Amino acid sequence: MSSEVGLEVRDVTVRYGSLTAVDQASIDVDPGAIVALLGPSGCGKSTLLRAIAGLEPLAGGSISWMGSDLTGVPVHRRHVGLMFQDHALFPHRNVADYVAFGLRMEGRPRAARRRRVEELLDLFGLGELGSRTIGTLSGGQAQRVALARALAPEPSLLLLDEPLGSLDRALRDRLVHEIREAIRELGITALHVTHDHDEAVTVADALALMRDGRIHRVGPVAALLDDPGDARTAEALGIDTVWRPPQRPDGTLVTPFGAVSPAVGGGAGPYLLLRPRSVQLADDGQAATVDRCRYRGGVWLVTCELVDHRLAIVAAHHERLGEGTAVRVRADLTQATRLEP
Amino acid sequence: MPPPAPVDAPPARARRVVAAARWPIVAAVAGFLAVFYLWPVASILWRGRSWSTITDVLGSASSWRIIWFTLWQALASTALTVMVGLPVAHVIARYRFRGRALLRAAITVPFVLPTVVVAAAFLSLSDRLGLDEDPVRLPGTAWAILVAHVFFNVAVVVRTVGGYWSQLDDTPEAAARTLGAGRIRTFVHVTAPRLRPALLSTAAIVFLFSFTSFGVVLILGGLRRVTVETEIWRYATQRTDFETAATLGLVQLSVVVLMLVANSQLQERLAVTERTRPPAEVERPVVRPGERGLLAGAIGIVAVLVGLPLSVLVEASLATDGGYGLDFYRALGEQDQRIPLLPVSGWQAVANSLTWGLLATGIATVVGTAAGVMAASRRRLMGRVTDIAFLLPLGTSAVLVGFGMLIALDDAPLDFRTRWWIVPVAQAVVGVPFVMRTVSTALRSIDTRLREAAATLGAPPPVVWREIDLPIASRAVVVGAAFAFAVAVGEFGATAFLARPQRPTVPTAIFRLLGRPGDLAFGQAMALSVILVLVTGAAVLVIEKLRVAVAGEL
Repeated sequence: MSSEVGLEVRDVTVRYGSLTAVDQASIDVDPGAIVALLGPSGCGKSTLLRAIAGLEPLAGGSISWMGSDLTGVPVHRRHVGLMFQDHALFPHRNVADYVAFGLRMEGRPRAARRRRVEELLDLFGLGELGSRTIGTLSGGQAQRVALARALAPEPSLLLLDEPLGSLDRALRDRLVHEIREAIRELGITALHVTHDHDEAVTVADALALMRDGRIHRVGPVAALLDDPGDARTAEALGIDTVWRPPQRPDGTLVTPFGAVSPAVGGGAGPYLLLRPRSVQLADDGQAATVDRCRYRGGVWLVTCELVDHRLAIVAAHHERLGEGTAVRVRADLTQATRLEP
Repeated sequence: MPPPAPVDAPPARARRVVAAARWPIVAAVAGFLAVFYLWPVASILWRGRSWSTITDVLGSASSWRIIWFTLWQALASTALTVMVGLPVAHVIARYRFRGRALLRAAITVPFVLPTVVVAAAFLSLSDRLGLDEDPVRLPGTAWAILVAHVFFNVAVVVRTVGGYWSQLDDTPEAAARTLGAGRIRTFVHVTAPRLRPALLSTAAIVFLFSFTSFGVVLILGGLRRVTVETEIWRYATQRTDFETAATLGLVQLSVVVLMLVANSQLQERLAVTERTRPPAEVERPVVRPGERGLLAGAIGIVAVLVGLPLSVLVEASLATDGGYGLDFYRALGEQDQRIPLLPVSGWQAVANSLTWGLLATGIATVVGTAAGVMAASRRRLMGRVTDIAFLLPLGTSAVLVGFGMLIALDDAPLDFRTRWWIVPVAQAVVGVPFVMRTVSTALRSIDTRLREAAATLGAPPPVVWREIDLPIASRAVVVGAAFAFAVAVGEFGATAFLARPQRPTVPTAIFRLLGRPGDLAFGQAMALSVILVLVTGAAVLVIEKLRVAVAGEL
């Protein structure tokens, strides 16, 4: 018996008429782990989440939790918390009532309910808002209330469906952190659906990448970021410094900075991932012209066109450079990773 | 961490229990509609089927004149109502100003006013303005009918188009403005097309009301201006020529059905999903001179259209020979033994109206709520069938309903015609669509994700219904009930057939008083009308109060 596995999704298929929204998706989530389900909009990730919650009937496959099959269990008996995109807060209740709803469904006594609600409101810094109504909450507050509501009945599994979709950048960054902290603290297993790779990487321990209804890659965050393995995965993770240099018959990739033989990068794929941190602007490098600059994560990523090779390369730099500036570029190929298509 | 609860009851069994409770309710609702609406109306069609009568009716030039006038006045009333109502709808939907709730309530009052009262108000208005004698004689003309129809229906435009408008996202208009379109062009090219679905359905309702309008045409049209509706009544009650009346009913029903089908097809073709926003985000304060002018215009329209006839009505009810006083109200309690104007005292008529109105409200609320739940059902077929089945009474004239009951419920086992409760049942048939509509609209507007969220938090389906659907629907039920009450208390067309002369309701008493000569009869009719205005006004207050509460929280 594989007691190590918490959530087990096996070959799940969901169809809307003739449209297959989820196509034989499989994913395992260990107890206490946070997994992000990452994919472009319309890839079926929300549908898969709804299927796990029991809101979509399965056309095939099975879902089990801690070894027991959930497939025939109706939504309200699954004991799964679901946090909706746009909150889905009930309009006719106040904050304390929203949060207490699941506890009331469990039939917990009033005093115990009140204690638990206070506990959760405190955890999310909502202490004074108990008697407020939905219309008076700000976006961030509504989001926290929705999370508190989902967590109140102490679900063993928490599903989050683009919970931060409608918020601005700064608030998202703060809430992503809060969500991770809360889940960690309560020791809950969580599946977090998002189309934002930065959010996914920040919140989760492991990633499941989804495209066209299928899950094409699963792995720990650190390992995937270190070696995405293929170009598609790199793109899904927001890594866009991937080259396709000329290839010799023996599999060696030829670059202006030297050749990369199949053994070096670990793989033998035709793509080469060269991270900006291993590319520098230096006097002894190849001649290049600055094409554009963008600011990300505290550094300027400078895209340069190598003068003799019609090849773009991205270097990290401390300041903005004007378009057309002549520079020299040096790259450390030992840091490069070969990728499959 | 607790494991998922074991499956102790197969979901199929729970579903069977719910289903077992469902079918008797569906059967009861269907039975009510069948006995008190479908069977009576079908009986009319059966009576009117005789080919010789049909050729007689359709072969005579005078019937064609009547049909033509009925159509013409309905179309003209609709066009005028939309023209008058749109500016007011715009102002109430898009601007924030003090007294907006009052303005909306004021415009709603005429809609729940009994048609008899509307007619009485316009009679007294033309009396006071000196428009009832040649050369300018308003009563008995098409104009009198048109103006009264606009007065009566403008609330429909303001409430339905305005309600739709107030939730419409205004970004497309803003985009049009930045692209260089002026205010007028923005309205013509962007706003008007977006309002089209609401405009069409509203126009259809106004057309129906005007096409089957009874009390207004009967009283204001006199003997010169008659429509299909008043002719049905005249043939059925005064000439006791049931065949001709039934054939005219057939003609009327055909036009109504044709119109409903054409409209629903147009609606389907034009259906678009509009982005909605909470009204509070879209509405703006009145600032620019143009906007002030618009607001003043809207207030002016409401003041003249609603305020003038109503204040004249009150004035006429107080104006006695010896100055202003409550003589006419006092007279309602006294019976003149020599020439009784009414078989009972006026106050008895008020008591009858209230008793029957409350009973009718009870019936309409129970049946209408059940029908509303059925109409909002996720079973598509049941929803559609209920929707259409209960819209039919709204499209059928009350005269047909009353006439149908008169001839159909006359034999065993359905020998109900002479029972006292047939009056509230008939009034309920007319009121049911209002309850059904408000309830089903409220239920359909509930975001499914609310139900899903409740389910993931552990609520089984019946509890989801109790926790989510019921609180939201219950306000709608009260609003629908208030509408049904106003409709029942003021109901005239069906009641005129079914209420016995010895037990008049307020509207039938008013109609009778208006037909008697003398200032005392006219004054008492005005006094009874004012009382009816107060009763229905109370219902509007309930509606407005709850409408704000519902909208404020949703």
